[in-house]
Amino acid sequence: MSNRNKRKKKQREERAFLEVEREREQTLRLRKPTTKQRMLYFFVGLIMNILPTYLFFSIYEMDLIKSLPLFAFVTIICSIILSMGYHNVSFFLKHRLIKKSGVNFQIKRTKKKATGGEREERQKKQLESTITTQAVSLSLLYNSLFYLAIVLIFAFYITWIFQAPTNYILSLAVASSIVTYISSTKIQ
Amino acid sequence: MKILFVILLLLASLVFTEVEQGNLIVEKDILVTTLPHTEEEFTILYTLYNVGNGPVYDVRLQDSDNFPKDKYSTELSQIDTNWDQIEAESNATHAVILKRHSVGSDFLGPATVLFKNTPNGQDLTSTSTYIGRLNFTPKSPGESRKSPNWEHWIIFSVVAALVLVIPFLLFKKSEKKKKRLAMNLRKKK
Repeated sequence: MSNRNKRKKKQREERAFLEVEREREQTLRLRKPTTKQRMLYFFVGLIMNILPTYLFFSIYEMDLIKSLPLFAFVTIICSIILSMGYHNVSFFLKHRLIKKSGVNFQIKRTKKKATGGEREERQKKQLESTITTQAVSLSLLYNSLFYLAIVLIFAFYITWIFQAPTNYILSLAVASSIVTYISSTKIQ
Repeated sequence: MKILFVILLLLASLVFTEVEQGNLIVEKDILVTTLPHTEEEFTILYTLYNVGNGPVYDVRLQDSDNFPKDKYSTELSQIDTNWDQIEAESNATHAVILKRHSVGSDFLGPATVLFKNTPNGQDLTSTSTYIGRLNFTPKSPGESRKSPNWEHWIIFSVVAALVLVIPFLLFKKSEKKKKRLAMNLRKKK
């Protein structure tokens, strides 16, 4: 093979390697949630944990003041676990929706700015943010429904034989763990 | 003969003259639909009926012996109470809310009511009906979950629906926008 062909082949391999690296970096960047996203997931997780806490306080008649430390601790821990589950599902859904849209989101770095290129980039960014909103809202809806269903099944049909505080800890912890575990398997 | 007749008349007037005096019948009842458990409130209702033809004075109801303080606590009112006067053919009621703190079995006997027929007269006693033996057991965890609790479920459902509807509406709104933007970008290609 001539030297020129060898050089061309090497350049092509380097370009392909750089493409793969760029895609991997983008994937890793998207995998970490932004601060806003983290706060949103935690807030929604907190509401999702306060709802079953209300049921235990009203139906199982747990004393609110005596059980307040337990309620606060379990709610916060389960909200953190649940927020991880929300992000896993929204990350998975975002990639799927991007592929489905059929639009190439990679920013082309050219020396000359093509006419109408800026407008196209703006539209791509808008589309990306819309897809992000869609993925986040779908993740919140799907995970919240799933979480509530598991908590109610555990609290009233499986762990009801235990005393109310034990029932509370078991049902919330198990439900948040199941939801987060299943959401992490989707990414893999 | 005439003197005998007058004496007989006087005796008869003494016998048949109405003396106004009261007479109390006391009912003691427990107002529950199911047997109470420990740490659960229950109400005891005392009803005093004056079935006599005169008022009764200085009426005192005493029933603390049936509810010792080491086992029972009262909510809002005391067990023993008194009335200055209960008119003839009228009644008075007294309700007590109690709570038992320990598991056990108690015989809830009759209450004692002391009263007088005249303001400065002698004390007379009346006893109420009794409730009988009650077994106080702790509430089992399954009991509260089986009862309807409609109002709690309604509140839970409303708040859960609100929290779930908002992301759904956001999803629908962004779906339309996404379709429009994706179509515009595909056209330019």
